[in-house]
Amino acid sequence: MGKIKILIADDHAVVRDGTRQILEHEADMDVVAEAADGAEAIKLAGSSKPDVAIIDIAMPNVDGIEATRQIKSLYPTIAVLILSAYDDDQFIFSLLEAGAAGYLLKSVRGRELIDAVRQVYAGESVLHPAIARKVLNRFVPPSGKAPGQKSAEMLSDREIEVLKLATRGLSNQEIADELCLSLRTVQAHLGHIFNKLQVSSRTEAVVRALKEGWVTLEDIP
Amino acid sequence: MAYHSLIDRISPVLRRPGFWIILALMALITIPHYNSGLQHPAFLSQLITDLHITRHTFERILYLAPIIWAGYIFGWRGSLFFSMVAVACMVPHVVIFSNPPLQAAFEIGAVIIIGNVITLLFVSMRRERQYRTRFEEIQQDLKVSEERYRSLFEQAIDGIWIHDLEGNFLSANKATAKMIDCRREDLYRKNVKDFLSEESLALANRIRSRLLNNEPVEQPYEQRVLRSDGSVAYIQLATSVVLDKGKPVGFQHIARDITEQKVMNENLRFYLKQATMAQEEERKRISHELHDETIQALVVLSRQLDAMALNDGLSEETKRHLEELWQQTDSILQGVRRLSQDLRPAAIDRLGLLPAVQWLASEVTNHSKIATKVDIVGEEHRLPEEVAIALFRIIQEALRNIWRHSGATSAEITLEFTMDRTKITIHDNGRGFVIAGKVGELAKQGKLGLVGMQERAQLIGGTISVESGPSQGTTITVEAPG
Repeated sequence: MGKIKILIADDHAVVRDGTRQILEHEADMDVVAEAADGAEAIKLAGSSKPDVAIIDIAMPNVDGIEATRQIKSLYPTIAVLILSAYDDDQFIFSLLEAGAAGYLLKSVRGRELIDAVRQVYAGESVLHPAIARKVLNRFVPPSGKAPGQKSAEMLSDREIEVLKLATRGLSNQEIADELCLSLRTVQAHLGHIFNKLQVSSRTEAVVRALKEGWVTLEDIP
Repeated sequence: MAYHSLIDRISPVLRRPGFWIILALMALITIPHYNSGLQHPAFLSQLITDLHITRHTFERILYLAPIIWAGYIFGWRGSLFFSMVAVACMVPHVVIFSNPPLQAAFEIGAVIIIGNVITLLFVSMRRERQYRTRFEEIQQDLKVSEERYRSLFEQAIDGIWIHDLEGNFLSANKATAKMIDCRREDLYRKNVKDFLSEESLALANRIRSRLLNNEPVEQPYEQRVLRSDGSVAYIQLATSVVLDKGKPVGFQHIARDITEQKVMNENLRFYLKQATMAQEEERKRISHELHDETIQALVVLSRQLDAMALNDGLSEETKRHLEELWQQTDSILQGVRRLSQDLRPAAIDRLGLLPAVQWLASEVTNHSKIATKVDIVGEEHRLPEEVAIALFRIIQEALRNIWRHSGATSAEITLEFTMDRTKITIHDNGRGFVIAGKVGELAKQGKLGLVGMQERAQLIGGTISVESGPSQGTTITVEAPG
């Protein structure tokens, strides 16, 4: 298995250096590009083909929100992890809508950052359950829209089940236990879901499911 | 009642000595009339002989004196009363002394008629004299009042002018001429139209027709006037209809030049706008500085502490100490982040008004007991920065008022986006308040927050209205272009 290729975008060189040092201590990680603003991040995302892009929100020229949106539309396979000093829900919502897979505060401990990079690389969600709940409240579809309509054509019943459990924040292993499946099967289901929804992470898949109304309030404890 | 009023009317007459003198005179005539033994003074006896009349006739004629006198003093009522007394004195004489009845009746009648006619003449002459005096007094008064009005009209600081229904000047004072910069001689050849723009003329016509129809007009009102030299003057004026025999013939205006005041207000507003903008700019700068410099530096510091703690070979105590330092740094970081947010929420610059308002609402809900909800109507679009921040500050101030004063348990913010306008309604279920008549009075009542909101709305060309009443809650509506 190759190293995780990482792009770091932050306009503060010292912070960028710090982030790189934390990640380069890990044997399976490789910082392949560093960008000082959003525009550069978009450009480097194309040229250095990272697996994970760690992006700050407040950046000159193109800010992190717009950069995320463009990177996700140009290179859907890159998982975007936001590392920001802002802690408002509003930023989290807009970034998840833009396609970010995770959202961390800059003051996070090194260990947590490393874990988060591995998780988004594996397509898992890096959302605190409390945030997931808020996200759900926000994405509840307008009443009158028949839920499940589109999903019926796209996702199988089993896939919907997996997605619902993923929405509750369960890990792959937990989902496997819950549905009496093997870990491999769950991973295969998630892979199919990602392909069908054209997303690269669980977070994105969950956001889509919530937005489309495939998953409702009752599905989350 | 009638009895009393009769007494009331008669008693002043009884108190007058003239009444009793006339009554005495009446007695003085009556005594010789019934006593033939009493001789008249010699000159009277001579007069009777010369006139070839009887003594009785002469005595009857004498009765004229008290009747006329009474008429002179008391008017026709007096002469009528004493005529009756005279008749009462004379009639028994006719019976007792068996005068020729026809002649006696004729003489008595003549005395009564002559006496009363003379009285009537007196009365009417006196009345005419009174009328003439009164008329002269009124004329004098009128002259004085006319002069007074003239001098008031002329000396007034306010411009006063009268024009006919078509707008042709009929009369104007010095102040008017000065106000519109036109010589008075020229003014009388002009029409008010010459001094009004199309828009102002429309307003003038509207007010005139309302006045003619007796509809209420809010006075004084403001008007824009084009002066002869081409400059514009702002006047505040009151208009009334001039009537001639109950028919409207023109309009009178009293106006004050408020151009200077207006310019001063505009300057003040401009200054206020600059000050508000500078304040926002300053807040933005400090907030960004805190975010871009201070927070980043703290992030680096906290990471270094975190990395240090991971080093092998550190004692447990050092590790604990480093952990404490990390915690402290993190809490300073959160404090600075809050300060930066309070100065200017980052969401408004990066995400727009709606997310910023949602953040504000969640802050209020979390920190107070007021359930604050945000509703949106229409498709949100990004507003110009100054509009977004002004609307945000208005909502912030409104929520602050609700939190501090209203005692409300819930508040609702509705953002309505249309193509080129944004309308925001902030409603609470609190105790409400009595609204002062004018916004200017709000400041006196200590409702400065509302004044600030009003100013901010005006700065972006918007309007604001407040609806409230005791125990009705309060609704604030802001509308702005953009």
